[in-house]
Amino acid sequence: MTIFRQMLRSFLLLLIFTPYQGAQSEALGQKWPNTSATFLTGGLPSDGPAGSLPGNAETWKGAANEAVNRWNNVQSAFTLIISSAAGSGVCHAFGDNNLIFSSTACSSAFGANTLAITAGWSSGTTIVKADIIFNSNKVWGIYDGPIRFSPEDFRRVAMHEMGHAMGLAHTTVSSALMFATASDTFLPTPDDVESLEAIYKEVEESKSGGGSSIYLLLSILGIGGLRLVSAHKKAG
Amino acid sequence: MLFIQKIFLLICLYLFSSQSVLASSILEVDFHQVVNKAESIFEGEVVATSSEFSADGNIYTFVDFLVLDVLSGDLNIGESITLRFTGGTVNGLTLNMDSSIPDIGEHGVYFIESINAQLINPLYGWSQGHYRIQADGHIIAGDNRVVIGAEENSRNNSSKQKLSTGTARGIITLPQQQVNTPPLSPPISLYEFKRLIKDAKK
Repeated sequence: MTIFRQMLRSFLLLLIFTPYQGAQSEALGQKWPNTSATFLTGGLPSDGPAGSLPGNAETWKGAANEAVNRWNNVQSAFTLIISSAAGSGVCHAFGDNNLIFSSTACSSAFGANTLAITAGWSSGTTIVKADIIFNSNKVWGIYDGPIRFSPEDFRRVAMHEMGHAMGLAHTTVSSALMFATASDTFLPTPDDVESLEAIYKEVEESKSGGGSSIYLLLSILGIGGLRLVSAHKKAG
Repeated sequence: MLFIQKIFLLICLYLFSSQSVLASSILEVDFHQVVNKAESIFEGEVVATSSEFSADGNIYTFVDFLVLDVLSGDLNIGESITLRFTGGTVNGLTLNMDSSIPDIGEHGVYFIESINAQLINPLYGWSQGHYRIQADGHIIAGDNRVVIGAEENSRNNSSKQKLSTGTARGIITLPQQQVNTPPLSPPISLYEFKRLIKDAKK
């Protein structure tokens, strides 16, 4: 029975020190030190999709703006700021956060199967910079509704990559924007929002200094603590 | 008591094992495609890794493999090859492209898209071309799940493409199989995995 209790205690400690990641979603384990970040779209072309491609009346920059708005409109945990200014330091550790089209990704070839990357720079668990780079070798459009894959939907992928840039990993909820498989979802879902709020609630809690000591106290309480942690998570 | 310990360990592994973390949008490829489009396929062991800042401002991680077996391509058993992955950590600063970079001591089967093309990730479809072999002989796919087989026909005949969830389409891993077709099939061995690769070749 002693071994069982020891295992249960270890399990509890593991549970307590695992960051809360929402019911179904995961965090990348990294987050911005503050609850906002500015992305520059000066590296995007000023036009939009060519010819008869979907969204050809929209511009890439406008679609990036709209992607940011769609995130900001549904949650207040993290504010994405967008600017059309030209950025510096694409693919470098220091400089601006950029959204660009490029035929290469940070001096490397994309490869046959890569649509877009988020090159995230971090120090420990703190994100210090992120560049979102779209593979210009692929055919892109701008559209809502059912996913077509040819052309790829720039705005949907931008929203997905912005989610990663804010610290979100993929979710197991298939209807969510942050599900690994692109789908007909073109707006953040409650699961996406809850995950983001969970990450940045920790930032607020760590600033106020309340969270960790409570977790530590609960860890000493053993099984009773498990119940309290569970309640804390539901409340979160 | 031993049974409880095993159950407990399994729960912990399931809950806390490193889960597939992808922050890039990679198209899903099928296993047939991975096998046939890969420039080289080999079984190898990581004997050294080193990360460094380059003049272009990126961090690259160079992974040295000892080639243990060659399933396809122009490699030789016993030779060492170095693959370059974009990303890594130098002096506490990390560049994360969400490439699953093989770690030192790792034993696996690797499907190389190109050795010389200087790709972000030299493995075909990133984690879809990366299979680790555990000490117990189980094959671990890109989504960190145990491989138990492959669909007979994994080719994508649909015009729609999907984003990768970490593992090539057609590879059957334990949780998926658990849900869809109980009872469980046992994990496959390295020998059986190599046979799947040979069967998937044109």
